Amino acid sequence: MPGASQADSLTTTKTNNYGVPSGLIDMPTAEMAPDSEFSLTVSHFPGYTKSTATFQILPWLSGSFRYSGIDGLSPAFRIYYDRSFDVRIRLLEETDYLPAVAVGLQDFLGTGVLSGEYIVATKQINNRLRVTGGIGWGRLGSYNSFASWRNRQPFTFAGVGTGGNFRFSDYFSGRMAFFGGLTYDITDKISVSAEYSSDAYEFEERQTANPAAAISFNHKSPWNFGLTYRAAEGVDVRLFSLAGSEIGASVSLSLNVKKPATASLEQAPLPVGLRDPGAFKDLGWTLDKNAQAKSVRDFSTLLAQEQIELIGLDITERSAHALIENNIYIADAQALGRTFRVLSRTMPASIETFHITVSRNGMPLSTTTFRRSDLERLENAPARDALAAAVITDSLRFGDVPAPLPGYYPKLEWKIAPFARTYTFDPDQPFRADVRLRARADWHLGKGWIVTGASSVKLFGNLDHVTRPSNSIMPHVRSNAALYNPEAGPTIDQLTIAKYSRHGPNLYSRVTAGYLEMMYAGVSGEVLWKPVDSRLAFGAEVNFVHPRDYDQLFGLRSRQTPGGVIPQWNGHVSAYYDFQNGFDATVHAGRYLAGDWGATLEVARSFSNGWRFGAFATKTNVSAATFGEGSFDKGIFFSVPLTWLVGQPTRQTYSDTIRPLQRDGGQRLNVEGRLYDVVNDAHRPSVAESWGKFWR
Amino acid sequence: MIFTRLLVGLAVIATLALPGCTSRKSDLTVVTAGKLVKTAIRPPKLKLDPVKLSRTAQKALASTGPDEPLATIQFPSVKGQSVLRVIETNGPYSTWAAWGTSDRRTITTKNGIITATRAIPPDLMSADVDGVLALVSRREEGTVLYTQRYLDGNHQEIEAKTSCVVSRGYEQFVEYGQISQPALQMFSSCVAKGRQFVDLYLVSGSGRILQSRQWVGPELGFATFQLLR
Repeated sequence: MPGASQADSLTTTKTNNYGVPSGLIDMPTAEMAPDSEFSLTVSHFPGYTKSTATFQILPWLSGSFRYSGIDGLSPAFRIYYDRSFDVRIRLLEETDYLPAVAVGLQDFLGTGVLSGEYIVATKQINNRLRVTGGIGWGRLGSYNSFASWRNRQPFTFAGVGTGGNFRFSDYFSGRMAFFGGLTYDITDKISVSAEYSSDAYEFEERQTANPAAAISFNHKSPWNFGLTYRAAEGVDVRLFSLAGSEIGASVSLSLNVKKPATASLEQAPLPVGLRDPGAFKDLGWTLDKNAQAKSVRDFSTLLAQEQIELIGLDITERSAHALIENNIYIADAQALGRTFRVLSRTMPASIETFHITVSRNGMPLSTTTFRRSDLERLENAPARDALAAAVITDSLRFGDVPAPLPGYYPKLEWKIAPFARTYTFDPDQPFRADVRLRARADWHLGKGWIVTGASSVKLFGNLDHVTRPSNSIMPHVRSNAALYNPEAGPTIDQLTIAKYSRHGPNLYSRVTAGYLEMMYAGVSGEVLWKPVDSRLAFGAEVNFVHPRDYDQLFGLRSRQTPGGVIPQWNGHVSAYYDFQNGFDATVHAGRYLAGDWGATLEVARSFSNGWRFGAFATKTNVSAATFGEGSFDKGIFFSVPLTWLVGQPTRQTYSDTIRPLQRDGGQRLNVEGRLYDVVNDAHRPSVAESWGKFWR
Repeated sequence: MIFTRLLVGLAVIATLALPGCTSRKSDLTVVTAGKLVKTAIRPPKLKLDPVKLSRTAQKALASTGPDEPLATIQFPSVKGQSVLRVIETNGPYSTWAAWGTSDRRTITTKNGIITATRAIPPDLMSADVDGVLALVSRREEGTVLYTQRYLDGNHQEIEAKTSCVVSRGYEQFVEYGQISQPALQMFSSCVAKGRQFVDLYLVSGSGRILQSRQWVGPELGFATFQLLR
């Protein structure tokens, strides 16, 4: 685009063979994807397949997770599977005369078969042409290297050990070489690229010479060429030639988390109801039972149309207070905005103050107060004006929360839904899954009391093919997944009674007892301290658990495992902090399931629209050798709000955690309804972040 | 294409998250998701049909009181059209919804200038139109600031500020619905970074905006708003 601003220049939605932002083929560039872009790339040439997920964490920082399979690289495996992580940091933005400069680490954690580091510069010459040049180390310094410094451990299978650790002494060490290339956009949809690669594919060639390994790779030329076609928005297909001897292809799918796949299909809210000024002083309705009943009836009818659940309503001469539960909108701000407008349309004119208390799991979480005349005055003003006029208080500080409507409890909710259970990164087959059908019921007995039962049966899948026995020398707290997974069922996935309570301002508690999760039964207790307007929270959790039978029915199994005894007690203290910029961090410290002591750090980028991407690492007091392959527990997690995909309002979200390896160290109990997640959305920092939705 | 993503996404969530049936009415189920896929693949065929619009307008004029405000709106880019009635007023603001249907989409105007839309994406949340309104209704020329606020995909209100030059055009006779009177063309030429549009208002001698063609937002483009009485 002519005159495109420099601020967002030099971004690309293309990715290279490693699935990182780049218009080139095998080589990196200094380009970044647009902020919060997520891409999945699968690239293949004979014998070599790489699948990579990349997220643009910040405009200047990208992170990638990759799973690659190389046929016959090692004599020990038919296909050698490997997991790797990359990061790239843009150091300098492009200017009119100077290129953008970035530094990157490829496969910086783990065994390092793909490891390399680089400093790279890219300059946009005109609207169609981009030129890149850089210096690489490791793999990227292996062809025609011009110098070498310090010592770098070459990759060998012998050196793999437990893997999973940082190799600080190797980064930017050893031989270094130049690489470069250019990308030219022929049309908006078609582009070509050519590069001079500094990767000699040395290890592949060496293994090709090794008669025991089945790999066959022949590096004939440093020149690679590619042709990329944009098949549709967010879909790129590329054909490329590599090393003068291979032809391959890649497909990349990308989306931007800030741009919903489907435009919102939410219905328009009701407009604010205006009062006749003459009616302000009319208190006649307070003596008229029928008028009162009509207000209440109209309110609950209109609120039901907004699909917001009404738990209780108190009306006095000058104020109305609604107790609601929002099970529909991602943003509580939107539920508040709609409920306030329904109040304005249904409450007698003399009522000047509206309060709404948001409740979850029977706990009142926050009370938002609005003057009715402010609501009338600010309907057509910027959203920030309404935020300034709203007062959000802790419901317990506020006092008098409405009592549940007669007949509200007990309330039964149920659903029947399929779900998938996966088993990933098994060297025999990297991805296996079962699809199961689960019936679930939640019986809300009274304020904060919830009985939950969930049972599932297997519909189809291949998890029963997982034969990998645990080789863990720690108590087998998680590594026996292969024994739990194949159960066709019906299994009891959860059968618990939980009590959520509030004991005072800023304080929340939960006690859950029963069959807590697939592998453990017991009792879990938690307390959380979180002021309503605070970005900081502290929590503590204590669990008393016993491992369940593999058939996941009512029985328990012995705590004795080949790796040791599973302790009964575990628990953590936690600190949660929400940085105002969309990032949040959590630290859990304490005793893990296997009895190991340590701490977990989680860092995530959370979007107001419900998306969440994060990474975690847990270090406990077991050595890397005791922990086993991977050295310590780590992984990434994400949440996808369904409303982003389909446009319909819903709080339903798909969340998952991906670990490169599932071992026994650093494992926590999977208890449902941890307090921070229940409480946080209704508190001021979250409500304010989504306040744009108040008038929507 | 957007719907490739929708399909990929739905395929995943259909097996991973959506209930087949549920007690909670607000939950999406496999069935509702299936319907969404169907509409994504075969969107209902819309077209601008002036004859149909005017027939509905006549019906609306005949069946409502003489003081009840009525108007028509057309969005050529999305081929949407409706006869509108006012469902609520708030001072100078009127909120309009389709006459004769229970369609939950609204447009808000301030003395004839569109300040908000709901459920007509992208959501125009609010707009500061006083400068334009003052000049246009007095049929005067000048330069003013014009602000429109949109909701982005991450729940943030994005403010788009534009500078507009208001100028007079020719006299034109307006004959639409029950309106039959002379009016003056008033143009408002607005330029900002990445945006440029010219709005047109037909203003009566008393300063009432009888008809207009207004730029409502990116993707949606222009709307034609015409009073019927």
